[in-house]
Amino acid sequence: MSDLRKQLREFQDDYASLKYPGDLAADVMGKSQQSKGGGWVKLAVGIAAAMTLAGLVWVGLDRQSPPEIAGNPPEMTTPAETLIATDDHATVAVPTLIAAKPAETTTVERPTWTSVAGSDDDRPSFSSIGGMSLQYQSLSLPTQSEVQQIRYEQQQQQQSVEGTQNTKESI
Amino acid sequence: MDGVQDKESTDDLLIERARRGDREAQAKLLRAMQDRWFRFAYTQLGDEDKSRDAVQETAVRVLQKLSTFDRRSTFSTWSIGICLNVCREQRRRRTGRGLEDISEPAAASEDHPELERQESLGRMKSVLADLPERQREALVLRFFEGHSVQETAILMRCAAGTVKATVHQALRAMRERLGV
Repeated sequence: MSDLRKQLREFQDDYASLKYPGDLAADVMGKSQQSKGGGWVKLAVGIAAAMTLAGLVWVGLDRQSPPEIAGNPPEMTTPAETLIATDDHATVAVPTLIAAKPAETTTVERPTWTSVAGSDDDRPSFSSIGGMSLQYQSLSLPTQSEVQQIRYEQQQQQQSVEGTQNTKESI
Repeated sequence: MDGVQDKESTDDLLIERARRGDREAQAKLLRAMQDRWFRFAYTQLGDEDKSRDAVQETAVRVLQKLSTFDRRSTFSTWSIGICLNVCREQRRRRTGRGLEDISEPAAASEDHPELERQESLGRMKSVLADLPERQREALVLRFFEGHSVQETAILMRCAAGTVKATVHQALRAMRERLGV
């Protein structure tokens, strides 16, 4: 029995010398912290992916909308005025277009698109800018309110002329 | 005596902080127990990698069940009980029985007492590995872990008398196999 006790004691010393290889806290708690960090990384990647997708959709929609015309927008021009002589030798300024053809309608053709070959930007471009500029010139008509105001002024003018004639006749 | 009481109160404080989720206290608790769990797992599984896995699993379970620790036994005894269950589960998952995986030391020579000692230890490990599971558990808990008969009975979930009988059978089997 004493030999067995001796051997057991020796084995006990050997047993006591055994140690865990490493840091258990780091092994166990490090893993859980790593998995929590991984969750944040996944969330960030998800947000980035969603933003990228939204950006791609936005760019796609932007390409489908009509492109802006290159160059400065056409300026609104004041209609040229024509002096019309009245019976009392007075002159009245009337827009030339109205004076010539007051109620003429103008049709505007839509421009056609052609893509420029070999260009990195596949946006369509105008095939004839000159034609467009002419059509835009014809668009510089007076607005409806301006026409009404002009007509009102003409009526006023006519009434004043008639009034003058009546006065002359009565005299 | 005062030193022992101080240590116990410090341990209680550490356990209480760990229970409340203090990660620093939890880490201290694991570091305080890691070698003890590893020693016990190594005698039951006989392989360093498997013992390391068992210890890590024990640590995870201890942290999960810390709120259920009712102080009817010491924290050390309670946590060794968890380690014992983990080792039993690991043994069931594999065919080996434990310490048989440990390599035998080189043949001893009378001129080299250290080698003789190594041979003796190797034989001891081999005999311990050949013991039935319950006898090995009882022997390690009583003689190597230093638990009382009552604590060993709680850990092994059996009566104190059963522990005494099992340890007696284990010692007799070892004596026979070692020829001493």
